[in-house]
Amino acid sequence: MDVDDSSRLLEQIRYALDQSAIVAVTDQRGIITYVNEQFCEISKYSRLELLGQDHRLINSGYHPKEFIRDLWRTIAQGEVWRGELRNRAKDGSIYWVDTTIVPLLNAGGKPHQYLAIRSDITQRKAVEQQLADQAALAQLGQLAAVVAHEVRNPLAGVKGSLQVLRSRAAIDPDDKRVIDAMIARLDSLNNKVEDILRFARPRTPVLDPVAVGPLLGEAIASAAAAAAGTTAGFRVPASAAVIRADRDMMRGVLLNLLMNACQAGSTEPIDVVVTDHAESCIIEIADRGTGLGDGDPERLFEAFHTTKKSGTGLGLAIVRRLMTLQGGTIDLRARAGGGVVARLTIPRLPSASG
Amino acid sequence: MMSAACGGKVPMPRAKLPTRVLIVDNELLVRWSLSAGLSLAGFETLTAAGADEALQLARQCPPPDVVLLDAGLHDGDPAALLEDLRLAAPGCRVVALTTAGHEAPAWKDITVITKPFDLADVVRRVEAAEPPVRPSPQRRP
Repeated sequence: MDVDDSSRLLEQIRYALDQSAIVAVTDQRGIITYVNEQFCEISKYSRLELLGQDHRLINSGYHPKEFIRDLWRTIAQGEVWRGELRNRAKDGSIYWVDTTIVPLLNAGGKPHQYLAIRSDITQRKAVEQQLADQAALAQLGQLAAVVAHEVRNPLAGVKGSLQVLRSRAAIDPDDKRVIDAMIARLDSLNNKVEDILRFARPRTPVLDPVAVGPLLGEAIASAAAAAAGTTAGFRVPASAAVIRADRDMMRGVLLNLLMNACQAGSTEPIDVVVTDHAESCIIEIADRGTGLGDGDPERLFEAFHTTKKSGTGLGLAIVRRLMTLQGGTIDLRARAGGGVVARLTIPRLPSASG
Repeated sequence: MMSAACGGKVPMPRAKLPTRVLIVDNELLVRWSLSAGLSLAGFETLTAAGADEALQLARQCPPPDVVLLDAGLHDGDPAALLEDLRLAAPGCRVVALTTAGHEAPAWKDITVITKPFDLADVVRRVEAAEPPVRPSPQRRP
C-alpha cells in the first residue's frame, strides 16, 4: 500500500466513524479541538460553541469526582477508558453516552490528544432506570405489606379494646375524653400506614367515566372543611368535562393537591381551571402561596421528601403514582406572579362521534 | 360431613337463639374487643386463637352462624382454613379481617373488614352477614 492509498483509507475510516459515532478530539488538557456533526446534534451546541471549551460544558454534575479523576488517570497513562457518561445538552436535557476514550500518543509515547468515541444510550438508560424503579417499588410494596400486618394487628386490638372500655356505663367523663384522644392518635398512626400502603401497594385502578365538575365539588368541600377557614376560598368555573379515571383515586389526588394549595399560605382564593382537549383533560390548581422554592420541582415527587414539619412526605409521591396508574400526569410549576400551579392531565372519555 | 354431629338432636327454633359468632384471630386484644363488642350487641361469641382451635369450635353443636376470620393467621393457610370451616359449619357466613384492604382472590365475595376497625362497624357488618334462615342442606356454589 503506498502513501496515497493509506491516507485515502484513513480518510474513509474517519468518514465511517463520523457516520456511526459521536466523535470529539481534545488536546492533552481536555480542550476540545474537534467535534463531528453528531456531537453537535446530541449536545445541541454549535461547533463554534464547543471548540476551545473543555467537557465541563456538557458535564451534568452527576458523576462523583473520583469517577472523573479515575477517567483522567487512565487516559493520562496512555490507556483506553471505557464507560457510560451522563451529559447535559445546551437546552438542559440529559443524555447518556457509551464512551471510549483513546489516547493518541506522540513520538515519545506520551498522550498528546484524546479521541472520544461515543454512542447515544439515553433510551436504554431510561428503560434500565424504569426497571430499577419498578424493582425498588416492588420491594417497598412487600416491606409495606409486612409493616402493615405487624402494625395494624396490635393497632386493631388496642383500638377495639379502648372502644369497649369507652362504652362502659360507669366510665368517668374525663377518662372518656382521654380514651377519645387515644383513639384519635391511633387513627392518625393508621393513616400513616395507609399512606405507605397507598404509595407502595396501590390497588389496580377501576377506570370509569367521571364527570370532573361534581368530583371537584366533592374534593373542594372536603378540602374546605379540613382547612377550616384558613383559606380565602376557591374560584372554580363550571366544567362539563368527563374523564376516564378511577373515581376514588382521582378524588384522593384532587384533595391532596387542594390541601397543599390551602397550606401554601396564600391570602387569595385558589384558582381551579379545567380545560378540555381532544384526548385529555387538564386540571390546574393554582395558589398564590410561598412558591416552589429553589431546586428541581421534580424532587418534590420523590417519596419521603417533605417541606412540611409533619407528615410522611408521601403526598405528592402518591399523587404521581396514582396519576401514572390512571394513564395521566402531574407536574408542578411556578405561577406567573407568585405561587404554584399543579397541573394534571388525564385521558378524557372519547367523544361519541369518535 | 362434620355437621352430621348435630343430626341426632332436635334443633331448637332458630329465632330464639342468639346468633353465634366465632372470632378467629392471633391477637388477644382483637379477640377480646370483638367478643366484648359483639356480646354487648346481643351476639353469642366464641373465640379461637388459631386455626386448629377454630376448627374444633366450628364443629361444635350448634355450629357458628358467622365466622370473623383473620386473613393473616400465623398458623396455617387462611384460604385452606376457610374451606375447612365451610365443611365444618356449612352455611356459616364468613367476614374476613385483613390488614391491607385488598387481598387474595380467595376472599372474593366475602365481606372484608380492614384493621384497625370500628367496633360499631363490625357489629353492622356481622348483622348484615347473618344468615336469614338456618343453612339449607345444599352448599352454596
